Amino acid sequence: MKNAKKILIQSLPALILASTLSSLGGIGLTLVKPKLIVILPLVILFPALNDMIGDYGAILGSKFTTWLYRGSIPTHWYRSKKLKNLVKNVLLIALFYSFLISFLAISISSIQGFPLTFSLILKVTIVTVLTTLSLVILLSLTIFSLGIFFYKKGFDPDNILIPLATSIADFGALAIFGTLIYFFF
Amino acid sequence: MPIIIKNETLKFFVSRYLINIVRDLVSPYKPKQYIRDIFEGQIVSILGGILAGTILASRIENLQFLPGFFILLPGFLELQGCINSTLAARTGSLVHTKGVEKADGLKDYYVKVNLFSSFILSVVSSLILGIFILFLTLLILKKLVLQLVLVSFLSSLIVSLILIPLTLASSVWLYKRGYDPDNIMGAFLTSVTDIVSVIVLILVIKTIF
Repeated sequence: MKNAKKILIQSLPALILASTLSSLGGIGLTLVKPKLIVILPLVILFPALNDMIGDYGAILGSKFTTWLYRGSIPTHWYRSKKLKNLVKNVLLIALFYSFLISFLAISISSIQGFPLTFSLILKVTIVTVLTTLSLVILLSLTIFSLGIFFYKKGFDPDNILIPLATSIADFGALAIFGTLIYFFF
Repeated sequence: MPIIIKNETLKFFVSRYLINIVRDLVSPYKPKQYIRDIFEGQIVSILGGILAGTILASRIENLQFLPGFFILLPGFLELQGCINSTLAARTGSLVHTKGVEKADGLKDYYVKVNLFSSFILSVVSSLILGIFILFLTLLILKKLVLQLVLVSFLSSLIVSLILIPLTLASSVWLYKRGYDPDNIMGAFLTSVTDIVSVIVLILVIKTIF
């Protein structure tokens, strides 16, 4: 049971931090609840959006640390062509999937009998695309600058960047999603 | 004011970026493996998320009356996702290092440790999460909803009883069929955890309220 104790001690703080940060992000959703619950496509796409942004955080973090240890990232990371390409590719994939989840959510809502207008479809798509793209940019800037910072300080970025990236992604996604719903609807 | 996209800009964007991405995806001669991997992994994850969202939307009229539900939901999904992903990662390491026979048997010491610790983690952290959400709801919505702790605890208990054995069994099943569980379990678990968690939350809330 010594191993079980070790797992519990090492995992519990990270689990508590990750779940409470996500719940703090949920405050953004609670504040726009009256608007959120009447717009069915937003409810449908919310879990997929949350998962998707978390995944991009993990992808950016893990690729960055791998390249950092291989020595292919310069000290001034913003000059790296490799990182620029990574961000560009992740942004394009994010753009494609944010359109796809908007399309799926709108189609399912329509099948369920939810009344759709062109303006609503446009707003749902804009909110999804803006949330995704702004978070990918925010995540890239945070991960790359903090990654270099921790690496220079002698820390292993692998241990810090992924939890940090997923926490920023979860908290940021809900906060930005909630703010955009507030302004658009 | 309508947004006007100039034809030239669109042409430049399509030719410069989109065509390159599509070419990299379809070409067997110049593959950018990581782009392909991200694309494939995302499809499974997104479809699971959309299905969970559809289930959630179908019961939203009942759930909206529970104060603090939208604070509980993201934290609960994150918690279950983290517990099962770490269990999958540990099981992946176990099957790779000790072989599938060991991981397959419930009598194995490391399998028991993994199952036990994941279950305890789920129960303890869901209680802490429930208490945190109780205070957050009191602070933000000025409502004391003690049942939130019960919803978090009971839902986590039920989800763990379903997902912990499923995670272990599917990792072993994949390994036995020649797949690397590390490459598949992430996307699979993201989807399954969302769907199971949303269904269980709906059922528990319906039972308690």
